[in-house]
Amino acid sequence: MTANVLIEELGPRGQRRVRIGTIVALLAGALALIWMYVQLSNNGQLEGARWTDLFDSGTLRFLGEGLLATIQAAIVAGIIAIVVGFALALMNLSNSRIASALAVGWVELFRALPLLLMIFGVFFIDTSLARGRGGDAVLGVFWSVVVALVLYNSAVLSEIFRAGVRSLDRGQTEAAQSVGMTYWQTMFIVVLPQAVRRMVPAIVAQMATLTKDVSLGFVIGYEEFVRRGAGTPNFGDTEVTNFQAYVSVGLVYFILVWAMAKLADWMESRQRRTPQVAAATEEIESELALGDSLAAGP
Amino acid sequence: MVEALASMRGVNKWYGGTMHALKDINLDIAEGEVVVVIGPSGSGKSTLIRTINRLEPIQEGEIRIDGKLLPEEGKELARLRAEVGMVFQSFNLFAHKTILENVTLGPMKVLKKSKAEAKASAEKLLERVGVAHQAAKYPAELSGGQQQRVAIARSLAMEPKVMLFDEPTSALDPEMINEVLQVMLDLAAAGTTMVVVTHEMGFARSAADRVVFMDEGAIVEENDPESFYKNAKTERARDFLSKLITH
Amino acid sequence: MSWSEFLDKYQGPLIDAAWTTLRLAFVSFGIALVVGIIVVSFRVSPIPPLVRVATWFVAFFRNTPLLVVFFLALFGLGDLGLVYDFFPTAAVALGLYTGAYMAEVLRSGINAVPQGQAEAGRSIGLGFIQLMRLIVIPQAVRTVIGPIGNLFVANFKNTAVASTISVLELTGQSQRMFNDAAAGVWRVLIVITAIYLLFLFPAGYVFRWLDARFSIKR
Repeated sequence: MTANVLIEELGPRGQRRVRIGTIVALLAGALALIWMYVQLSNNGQLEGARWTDLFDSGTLRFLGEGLLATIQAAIVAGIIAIVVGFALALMNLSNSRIASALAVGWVELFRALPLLLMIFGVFFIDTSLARGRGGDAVLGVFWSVVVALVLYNSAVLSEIFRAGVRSLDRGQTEAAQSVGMTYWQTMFIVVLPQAVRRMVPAIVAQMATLTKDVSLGFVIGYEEFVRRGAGTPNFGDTEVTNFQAYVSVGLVYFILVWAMAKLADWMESRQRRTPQVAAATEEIESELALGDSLAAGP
Repeated sequence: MVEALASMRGVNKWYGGTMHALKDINLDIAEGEVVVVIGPSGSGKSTLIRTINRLEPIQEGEIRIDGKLLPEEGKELARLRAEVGMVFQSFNLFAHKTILENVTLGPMKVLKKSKAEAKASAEKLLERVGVAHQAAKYPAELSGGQQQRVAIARSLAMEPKVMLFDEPTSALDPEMINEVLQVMLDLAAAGTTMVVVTHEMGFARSAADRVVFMDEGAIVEENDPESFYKNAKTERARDFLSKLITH
Repeated sequence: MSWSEFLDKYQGPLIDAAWTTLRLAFVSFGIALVVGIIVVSFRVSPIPPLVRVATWFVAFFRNTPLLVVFFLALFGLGDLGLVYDFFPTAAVALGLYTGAYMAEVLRSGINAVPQGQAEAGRSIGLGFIQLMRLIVIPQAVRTVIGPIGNLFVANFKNTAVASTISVLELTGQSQRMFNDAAAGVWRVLIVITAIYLLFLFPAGYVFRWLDARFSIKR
């Protein structure tokens, strides 16, 4: 076991204490598991049918459609958010005062509001406009979720892009300008390609967060994965209750987001092997003040 | 012969079970003696000095301070460490404490001295190492040489039986090396027991009672500084010294 | 509906909702601090099962949607025989969720304390507890003020999700008002946004000030 700053290499007494602590912790863990087992089975939550009914083909399809809807919204919102975030970052870094003020306002406002409120806001503005016209809503639930996700994530991503560009060595820009490139040539030919490469792990991590947040579409009736989970106990002739539904939805969701976060961590650790890039990654992190890892912000 | 203040007997240390870092070390340091340890990088000289207060544990052999066996852990170890001063290559002043607090922390928290008492003696020590006017500042506001002198004062405040110096001038800019060496020379002159890992030949020649030459984890040669630097007995020492001088 | 009619009707509910948001934000953040400290001490302990539990805990809460955490707290805890009111359930669920992030932030703070600081402490004779109390924790805390501020803001925003389990805080109140066509969608949005910003901009300012005041120069 590698020592951290807290723990010295243990002497014999320390090692004995660790052994005792290990045994106590394992016993406590076993007791907790037994207690959970007893409580759950007393409440009938461990009965076979409640779980096996999850695998009825109808239930599986019902849940699967929800999962696909989640992934669909995540992909669409993710792509648009990256494009918009990128544009915001360029506006922010540009020499135009109006453009950069607009970008700053956007970022500050949409980062400061709860995403759930933004989803409600977009959705109810859409429906109230439709009511005023006496026609159908323009956006509907899918696009309301996507628009709200784009508002929030473009703001976060633009900060990531900006930090990435600023982390680049000044010398790069100066070198490019000294060979006669204009500001925008420098930006697009020299700075951005390098910056983007460095920012990929942070972007992937943000996509993991975005995927988690698609679940909030639940509140306006978007039929994503969690909403389908909530609907499962009432879906057809099934023994499944809320407990089984949320445990399984949670598990699948966890695997999906965890895989994305792991991918981001892996990409980041691969980049860290190049010292120059590692320094830049650290700078991005400290700019964002996310601490140890770029993966999955709250 | 007087009993040694610090003694190492048959000390062996391995890193990760394979890398033999210290090989059968026997070393006695008498009270008031100044011992300089030199050797190429990776020769184990830093590891050796760090075993004396068990910043590095050993697997074989025994280390005694003032006749007492070095404890392996716990309060006993902490108490013993308080009697052994240590000065690091990178100073390691407590970054969140002022200079004065750096020096009073140990006396107050470990020796349980009153604040007034600790402060009075800290001020005297800071005076002695020439940074008294910086007492209210934070470490980052001082130069490397000043920080290292504060680190020496911090160790001295514990009134240690022996002072260990682990390459105290290697991280310093050339113009600051002398101010730190001067403090160390004064300590030596005052009869402090010191073990110093350093390449500073000038310090070794004017202050050391003995030079210990290490290579590949073993003590290869020990002698008084004049004899050692003029005519080292072993080929390896001569080879090392020739490289040191031509640089 | 005029502004004065709007205020007549909604002033009371808005103040109640803002108070609920505030209470939930602070209670859950307090829980998150306690949870974060416990989890991080497991995480850096030399006892392997505790390290494993802490790692799983953090991975679970970081990679599961908050909404699912809330529903699991509501139904899962109920099935374990632990039935609480909506507000405490929300506070605990949110506290555990933010606590996982808190543990990671605290861990990064501990890892940022250089080994040399601990060695210097040991060599003047500080024992383990003294070393923690006098050197490691004060330094770790100072490096994570900024990230903890970010967590506070994120946690504050996440109180909105409690509306899904019947806690009538600001976002839940906004939903009710959105459904009242006479209240006006834009007006509701502006009022609720203003209340959130009123809380969150000063919070950001306070944490930036704390960070500037207490962070360590190296």
